[in-house]
Amino acid sequence: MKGMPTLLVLLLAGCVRTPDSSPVQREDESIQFPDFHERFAITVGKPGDIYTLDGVTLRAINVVADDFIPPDSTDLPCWRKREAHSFRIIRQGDIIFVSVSTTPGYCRLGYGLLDYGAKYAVRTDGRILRRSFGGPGGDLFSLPPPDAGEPDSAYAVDSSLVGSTLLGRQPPPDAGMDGGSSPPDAGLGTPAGAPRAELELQDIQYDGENLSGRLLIGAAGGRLRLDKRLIENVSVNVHSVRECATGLPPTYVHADSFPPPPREKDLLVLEPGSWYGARIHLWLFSQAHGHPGPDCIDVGLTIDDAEHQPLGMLTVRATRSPQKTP
Amino acid sequence: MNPLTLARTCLLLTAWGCSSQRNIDPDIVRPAPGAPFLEKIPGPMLGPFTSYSDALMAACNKILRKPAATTGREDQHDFATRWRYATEYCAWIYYTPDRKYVVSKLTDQSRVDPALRYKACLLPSVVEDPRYPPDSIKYIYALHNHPYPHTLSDKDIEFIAEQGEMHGLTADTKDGPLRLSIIAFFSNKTVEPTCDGFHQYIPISGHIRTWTRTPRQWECRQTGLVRWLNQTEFSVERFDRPCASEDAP
Repeated sequence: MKGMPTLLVLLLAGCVRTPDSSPVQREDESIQFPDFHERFAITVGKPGDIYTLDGVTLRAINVVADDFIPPDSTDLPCWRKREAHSFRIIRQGDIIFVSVSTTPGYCRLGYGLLDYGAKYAVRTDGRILRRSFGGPGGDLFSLPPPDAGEPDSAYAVDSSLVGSTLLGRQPPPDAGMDGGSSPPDAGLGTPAGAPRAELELQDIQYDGENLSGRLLIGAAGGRLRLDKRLIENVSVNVHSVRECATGLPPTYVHADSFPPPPREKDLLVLEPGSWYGARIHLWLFSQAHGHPGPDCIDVGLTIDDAEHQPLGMLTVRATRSPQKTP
Repeated sequence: MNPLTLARTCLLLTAWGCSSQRNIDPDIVRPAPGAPFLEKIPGPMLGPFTSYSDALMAACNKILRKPAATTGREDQHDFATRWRYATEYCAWIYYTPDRKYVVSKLTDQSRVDPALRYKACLLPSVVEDPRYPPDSIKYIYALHNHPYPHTLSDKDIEFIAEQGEMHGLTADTKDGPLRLSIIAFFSNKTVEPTCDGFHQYIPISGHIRTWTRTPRQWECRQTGLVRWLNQTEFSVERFDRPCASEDAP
């Protein structure tokens, strides 16, 4: 860390990166979400009535709950727990559209959860076809629904009906790996357009705990303003770690750094066609805490400029070597 | 991370998310590591203003220029990466006993998804301005930014409806009764973002509106009408037509 005074916040068991939740698979960006509030939903679960809920729909809800809601933990605030959520469902052909958010009034909160929630398109076999978290695409109300006929049904389900005891937490069938051919961040897609910087990590070393290498940054489309210190967890961030063999995310260390702001001499304007390089060191696994690293990992890195705006992403593969990194 | 360097650092364990406090911005409040989410937001950050529209525009420009407040449009460069690191900020505009409009401080207590997939902002229901008794503050606009010019979410609509029950659906001001509403600012730019527009939902009328800035003036379109079946269930009729001429934010 280049010897600077740094306050590091370590987050181990409670802050091991949640897996990107989904198995590695590309999403179907042609799917547009229907309007979940086009009309009032029929509430399933009202006392005094009799309901049926088919297993296919129940599985879709379970898949969404597993993907969106963190595993149950006593540390979670009320509204992050599974039972605090509701699901709105619209079925169109063999796609079950599910909107998940908190149940109004279930938790007594002194704050509002603006924009909390997500929408999913789940095939009847349990595979997630598309997610929308309010950002990239998917729910443009002016666009027609997919060519799957009229909605068969629209209803809302309180999550008390879909507790983990009832549904279990197994991954959906047919939602396995695709052989690792997709990038680790396939769920969100790759950045649109040309990157602002060319990125490369050379001389990669990995000892089962630490990953190091020489990071090269090239100005691609215009001038870049860099913090030359390339501080890990500030300018260089780990956004995903996956085992090479399985594509699954292992438990790894999430660290945050709080360095002093850059001084003038720390800043560098990189002209187009120029490169800058510095060695980086990332602590990913802790044998001492019972989380040794796999032998081979694919690590996704994001690199930010001096204003903390993203320059681009870089995925590197590292294989454990017997030598310790410096 | 060099293990030797690590040994010299101060290690803290925290139970609350993977938040970063690397930049201490006096405009922004957030809970201490391990502390629960804030239930009161302090004021003021901006103001006082004699006009609610001045307060609104000042807040829009302030919020959208905060780090990572905007991703730009979906077809813009690096959208997915920008989305991943986008931040929502939220605040209140309130009316004070001395007949002024004030913008509270911002909070960005929003990093609730360790995988950085979705964005949310946890807006406290109560403003705490030490200059005024709590009951003397009147709530006008619940503010936040949408990093992407996306319409209001279900939770936006539910939240402001709940706030109407708590604070009242209208507030008597020197400008007459003002209707409580929720605002989502957006910008189409990522570099030096400008206040390009905002979505608004007004519970007392049920109207959802979208305001966009044209070179000459602001344009208002009515884009939806919310109908409530009961306290929790609502539907939204969506359309697109000009707002009534007498409309103001």
